[in-house]
Amino acid sequence: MAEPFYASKTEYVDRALLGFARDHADVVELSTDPVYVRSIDRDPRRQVGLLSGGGSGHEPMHVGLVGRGMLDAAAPGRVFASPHNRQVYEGSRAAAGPAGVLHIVKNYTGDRINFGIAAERLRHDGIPVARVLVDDDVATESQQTATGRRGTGATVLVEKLLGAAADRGAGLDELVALGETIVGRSRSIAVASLAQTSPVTGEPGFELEPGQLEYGVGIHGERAQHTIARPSLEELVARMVDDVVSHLPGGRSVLLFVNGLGGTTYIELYNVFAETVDALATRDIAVERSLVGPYTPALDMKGFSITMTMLEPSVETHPSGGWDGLFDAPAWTAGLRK
Amino acid sequence: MLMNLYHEAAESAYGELTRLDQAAGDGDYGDNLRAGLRGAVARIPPDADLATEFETAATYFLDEVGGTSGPLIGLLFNDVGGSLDRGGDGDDALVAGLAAGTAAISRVGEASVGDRTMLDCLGPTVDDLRAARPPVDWTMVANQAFDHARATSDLLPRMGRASYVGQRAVGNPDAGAMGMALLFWALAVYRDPAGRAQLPDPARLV
Repeated sequence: MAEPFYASKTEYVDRALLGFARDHADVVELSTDPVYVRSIDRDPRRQVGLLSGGGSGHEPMHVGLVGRGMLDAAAPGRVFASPHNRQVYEGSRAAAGPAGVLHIVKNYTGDRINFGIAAERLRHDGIPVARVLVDDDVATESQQTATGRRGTGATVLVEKLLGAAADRGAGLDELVALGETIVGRSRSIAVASLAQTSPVTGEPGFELEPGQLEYGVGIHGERAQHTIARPSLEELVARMVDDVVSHLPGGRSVLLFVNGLGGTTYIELYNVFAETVDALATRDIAVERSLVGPYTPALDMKGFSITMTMLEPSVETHPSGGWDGLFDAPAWTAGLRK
Repeated sequence: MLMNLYHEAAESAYGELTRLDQAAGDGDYGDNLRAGLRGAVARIPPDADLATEFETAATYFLDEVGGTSGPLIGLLFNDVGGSLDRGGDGDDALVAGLAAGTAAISRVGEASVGDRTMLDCLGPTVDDLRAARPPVDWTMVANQAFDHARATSDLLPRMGRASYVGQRAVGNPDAGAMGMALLFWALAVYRDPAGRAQLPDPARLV
């Protein structure tokens, strides 16, 4: 039992958002009714506003990715629950540029429906709106359902690359095409050795025997389809790299994102990163750009995910297309100014 | 007032809607529909025209009603209200609005007729309305809407929460489809009060 440090059992997300907005008052402002976070500055060339959102518990995604060069607004739901359509609707009205607003949506039924309702309301108001759906998690690819792959770590990469394109003045259709290209060339897989702590009970979300790993775990505390005996890190990373690469289009250079799930130290993440770079090198794949850190956690789950975006030969997703651009969002100032 | 009639029908059908939704989902459909209509009726000005009724109810369902079905009903009302606002409160604008709203629900819910959802009443009933020669016989249309909703008893759920229970949902009609049949009940009584005796009793749906 490890009860979280919350000021209230029911209002902890709102309290955290208030603290976040106070901390980053130079970059964002918070609307409380309905709840959304908005950038106070944007590139004057930007024609289309970018809005994302989803359940809380994955911070800094999405509110920490709001700022000049990145998202114009984010709509956070309760922990692991979709935002209400009104948050998305009002946030989009605040974020929309002269050429409309783009929604970046992770592939979950609740998110799809609530963003979809908001999009209908925006169209009703005459505001152009389109959607990029992120579905990168290869662990959910083989299931015999209509729901498809979950959206996970690739969302962060999509938000950064589309932010740069939006600042170049790209229109709605161009952003959708670029977003779909990036999503189509991005895949992820995650593992966990300990479940996240339930914010309600303070207990682990699920029990795992010592020496076991959840292979293909999601970011909402749901178990994976497979529990495996824990291999060495080298063997584990090799398996994950093979799983991801086999679901990517062919190519020789990637954008590599090693993501912490919340309870994993930077020492561990950089061990994973170093092993992943080596594993890719033996497969003749170069790491062109990289990102390491807990950008898409699942509360305090102990684990990590590996996301890769195949860069070549697609010109649009090459780093010159946006990875190195300037930006000013709370979560990114340390992680990516290099 | 139309929404008063719809509210009356939803209150009468509350127990049955809840029973149907408990058999296939989480059982909150009757609560959400009833609460939405209560809230909408309380906000509609006494002298409102039909467009204002739909637009006021749309905002309430979109902003305040929980679940997935509540905001989807709000979308339907939004399109009906917009169509009536532009085209007057005749049958042409009403049917055009119902068709636009049905298309919006299908887009957003990424569901089609046959998936055992509210669309299995709305879709075929809108088809009936488009095929009918003017003037629309709303009493007949509402009876057809109930037939379409009852026919969901044979359908296997593919979308929505009912998809998690699969085959176990079969044998009872879909609560969401029944909720839409009640809207056509209200429209029929609103347009032709004398036809009320020829309509099903909302308190005895199945």
